[in-house]
Amino acid sequence: MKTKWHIQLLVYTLIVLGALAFLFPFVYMIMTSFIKGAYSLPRPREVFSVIPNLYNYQLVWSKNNFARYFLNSSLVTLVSMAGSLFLGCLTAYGFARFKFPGKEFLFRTFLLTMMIPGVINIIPQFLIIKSFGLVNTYWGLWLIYIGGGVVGSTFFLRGFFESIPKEYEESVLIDGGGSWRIFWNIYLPQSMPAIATLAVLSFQGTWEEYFTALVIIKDEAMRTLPIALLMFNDKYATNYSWVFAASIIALIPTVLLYIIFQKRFVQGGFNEGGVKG
Amino acid sequence: MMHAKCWIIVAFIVLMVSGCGQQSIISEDSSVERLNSGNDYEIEFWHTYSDEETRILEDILIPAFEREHPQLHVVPVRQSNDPELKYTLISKASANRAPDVVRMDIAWIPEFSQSGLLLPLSDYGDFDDVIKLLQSNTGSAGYYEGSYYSLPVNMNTKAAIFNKALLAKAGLSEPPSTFQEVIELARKHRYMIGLGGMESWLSLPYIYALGGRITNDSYTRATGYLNGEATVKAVEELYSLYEDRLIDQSVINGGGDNWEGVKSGNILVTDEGPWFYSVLQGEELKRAVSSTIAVPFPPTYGPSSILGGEDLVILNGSKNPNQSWEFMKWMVSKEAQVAMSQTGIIPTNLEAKEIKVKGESFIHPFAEALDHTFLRTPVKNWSRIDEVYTAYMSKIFQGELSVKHGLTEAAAKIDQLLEQ
Repeated sequence: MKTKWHIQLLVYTLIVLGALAFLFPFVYMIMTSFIKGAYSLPRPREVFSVIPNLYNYQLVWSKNNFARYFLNSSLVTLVSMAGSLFLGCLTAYGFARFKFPGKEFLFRTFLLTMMIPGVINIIPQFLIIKSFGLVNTYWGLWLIYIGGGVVGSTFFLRGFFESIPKEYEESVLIDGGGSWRIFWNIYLPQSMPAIATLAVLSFQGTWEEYFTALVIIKDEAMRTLPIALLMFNDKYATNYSWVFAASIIALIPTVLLYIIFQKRFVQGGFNEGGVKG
Repeated sequence: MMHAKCWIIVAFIVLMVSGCGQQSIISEDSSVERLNSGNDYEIEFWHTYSDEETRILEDILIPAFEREHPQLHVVPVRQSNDPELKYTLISKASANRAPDVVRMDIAWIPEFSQSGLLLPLSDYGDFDDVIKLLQSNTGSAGYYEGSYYSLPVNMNTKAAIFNKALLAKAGLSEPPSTFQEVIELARKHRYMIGLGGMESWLSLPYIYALGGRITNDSYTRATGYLNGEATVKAVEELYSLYEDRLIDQSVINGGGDNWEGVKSGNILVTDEGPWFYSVLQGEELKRAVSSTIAVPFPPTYGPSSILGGEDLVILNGSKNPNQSWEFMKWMVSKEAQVAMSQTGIIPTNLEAKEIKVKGESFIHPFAEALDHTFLRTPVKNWSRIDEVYTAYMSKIFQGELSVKHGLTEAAAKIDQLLEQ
């Protein structure tokens, strides 16, 4: 049955209006970042008459140690992302495919830690990191980020791994492969859509993380990007063009990662046709 | 088999390389005693200077200080300016693990000094000689029970900034001399007043200029002052302007764009600090200077310019208080203050202030206003008093309470806070 044209029109109007409502603040932010010196939020007339330029972007890159903190954040985030994904995949594989005593209890304990808000954890985490002598080091930060990330990744991937047919494993075993081979050549490639999603989530979570970084890192030169962004908020007169330009630069890696992995999200059916019947 | 070997080699290399990460086998290098270094001291200095100010601090001030005092080393740590910093400092000072010197907001000083978190500076023999060189009224925030706990390092206040064209349209070449006349002018020509919000920093200059007060002069009682006749009249005046839409309706939610409003002629007057001009450059600065005229809030009923700025303090638990004092003295010296004033902040050192005022024309009204300032109630509970004041002012402007009723309730609550 064909939908009537006026219903279609209504639906499309709603969709377009919805999209505009979501896009408007973002476009406003981008346009404001082109204005020279917006010390209060500019009016739409000013915002939409501005000519795009990179003046503020060049300026903020050299301000408030922005470039340095950008690189610091890149290092912290990439290692955390790789670590939490790799360990998360291994743990999920263990939970999905091996039988061992207390498995479900352990898994539920994992889940329980996810229910506790991060702020409550901060003091015990700090004390543990301090007893390891890792305060003011990226190792301390990685330990918390990876430790926190593994739980989420495990929860997310376990179900995904369990949906992969066991027949694949059997075929590897017949050919002489072991558990590692099954994990590396069957589970990882089959789970790319899930892993890509997790990669973006993990990247975003660490890239924007402020509170733990502030607590663990004392050295000014080792601070991360969210702290640099905060420095643009001046006590007396905040230049919103700089705040927005800096925020947009900070957004670029997440957007790029999303674009890179976007295809993976929609790609399905890897294992279709792999098993007979 | 080959694969397994490769993995072993990779793992071995990773282990070996990770060993290179730590160049020293000593984990806390700074805590190790050294030969011939018995007289070296480290001063940890926390501040909230902006990016440009931090550059002057790190590239000019600290190197110059360290040249004069080769045994003293200043470690500057820039912090973002937010309430969290205050709580961090309170907890660190309470645990005796604070940085040595902190540059903090003048409004925080009474809370810190009256909680016993600061070291008294007036115990130093040369304190009086140092304070003599600074603007006298700025030091009062740090005074508590016979001692001074802070050293003002830069100061500011807010002036009344008028739109020149609107004044000219009303046949005036300069702003009226009392705030009552300003309001009459606004009513007559339906000019807007750019009140920025309900918080004390934003609304008190207007209320003080109209004769209002929060407490008595010894800061012990609000009842009879905040709900006194003069303050009630002042707030009623502002509220009626709000009702007549001569104060923007968004004032309860943080206010509108008063900067652009006063420059473009949509607003007759607003209140702002010297940064209204100093953050601008080139054409923007020219436009601000040519379209506006700044004057001190009229001191008709006594000082009505609100005092702001930052003071240097030594927190409890400072490892090197005497050396910290040396650094603080350097920071308020003429040389250091002149260098820092390039960024637009107003020095507390009188000589440096003179140089600054001569150098930049727009600073003059602010420097003049700084001679007639009032302090936000310098008591331990000031931040809570400010919350009560703001909440009741908002209720009054939202029409929930009458002016008299709202201010009386607020005064009673503030009295309790003053007693604590």
